[in-house]
Amino acid sequence: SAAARRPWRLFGAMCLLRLPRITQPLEKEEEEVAALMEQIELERSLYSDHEMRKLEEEEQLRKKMESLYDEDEVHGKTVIMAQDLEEKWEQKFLGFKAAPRITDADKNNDRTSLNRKLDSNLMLLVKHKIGNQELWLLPQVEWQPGETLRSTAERAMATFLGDHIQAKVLGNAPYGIYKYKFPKAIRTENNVGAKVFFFKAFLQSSDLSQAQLKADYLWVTKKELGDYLQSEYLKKVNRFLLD
Amino acid sequence: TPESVPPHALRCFSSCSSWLPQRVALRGSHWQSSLLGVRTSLPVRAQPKKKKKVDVKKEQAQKERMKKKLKKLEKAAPELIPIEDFITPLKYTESNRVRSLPTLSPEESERRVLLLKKWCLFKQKQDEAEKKAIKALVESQQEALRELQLESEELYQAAI
Repeated sequence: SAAARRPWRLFGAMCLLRLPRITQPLEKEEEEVAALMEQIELERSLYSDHEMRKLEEEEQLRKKMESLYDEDEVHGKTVIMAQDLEEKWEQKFLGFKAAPRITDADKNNDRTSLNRKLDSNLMLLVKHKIGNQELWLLPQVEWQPGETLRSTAERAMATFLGDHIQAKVLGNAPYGIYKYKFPKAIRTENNVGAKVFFFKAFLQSSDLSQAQLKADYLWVTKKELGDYLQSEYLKKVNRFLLD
Repeated sequence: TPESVPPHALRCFSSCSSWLPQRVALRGSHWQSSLLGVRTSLPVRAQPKKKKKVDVKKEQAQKERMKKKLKKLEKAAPELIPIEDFITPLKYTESNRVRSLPTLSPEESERRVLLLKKWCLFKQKQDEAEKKAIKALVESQQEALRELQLESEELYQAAI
């Protein structure tokens, strides 16, 4: 187009999210109400078949004690009581060991691992060299004429993680924007600053063994972003992150 | 007997000999029993055609009858199909199934009511937070699209 060349450089950045793998723990109120609901459900229910059987067997046992009438000896067979079944089930339950919610990576605080914070979203941060600074940012590359900004963001992802990354980009429209002006030293009339457009994607597979990681990277949760991102940038990014 | 044939009859036969072969030929054809039978052969050949007409008419009449039946059924209001889950099996209506539990103490009922009120408030706050987050998300996207439009109409169109 014949429009005057805008003085802003355009960048496309990708916010790549690894979705949570387990549920978040319940809050105190949620736990209390869940317990109450269970109690009410029990109160309003009728006896189940298993419970009926248990009650009948208890009744029979009591009668046997009272009347000293030993039926088992007469028939010579052992009967499995409902109580025995319950004990068996209890033993089985105690023997079950659930997978740990806190992984080794959590204990070591290894932030490069994807196998941590299984109940939260994890985001990819990459170290960029901007000017003469090294900054932690969401992966970004500069826009090239001929591609849409979404492709720019996808290219950013591929640049840092390799081509075999499996991610689902959420739509064509950017989720947020961070605008900044270059320091006065390098600012010119035609090169005032940069606009970084953020896109969101969900990581489809946790298998990044194929990925060729080109620079320093981290996977962090929303709360941990503050440790790495500058305040203005962080503010803009936080707006489009749902916890 | 051949001896009793008079001589003038023989002469008759000889004059008739010219058309005799024709008569024999006609007699030889398999679908005609006599000259007069020629007319009866025509209806035999046309029989398949009549079958088609009659059948077509019958079929049409059948179809119309079916259509009328369908219309009648459709006009009738649809019956409600009883939902299986809502019918309690009879064995659960026996009275000995009723659970025997101690009645709730007033403290317990009080505790429950207060807990539910707390829950109401908790859920309300949660809902408000969600709405706020969604609003921020939408605003962020609107801002980004505005800036993009300022930059390049082409990229903006690709984005929406």
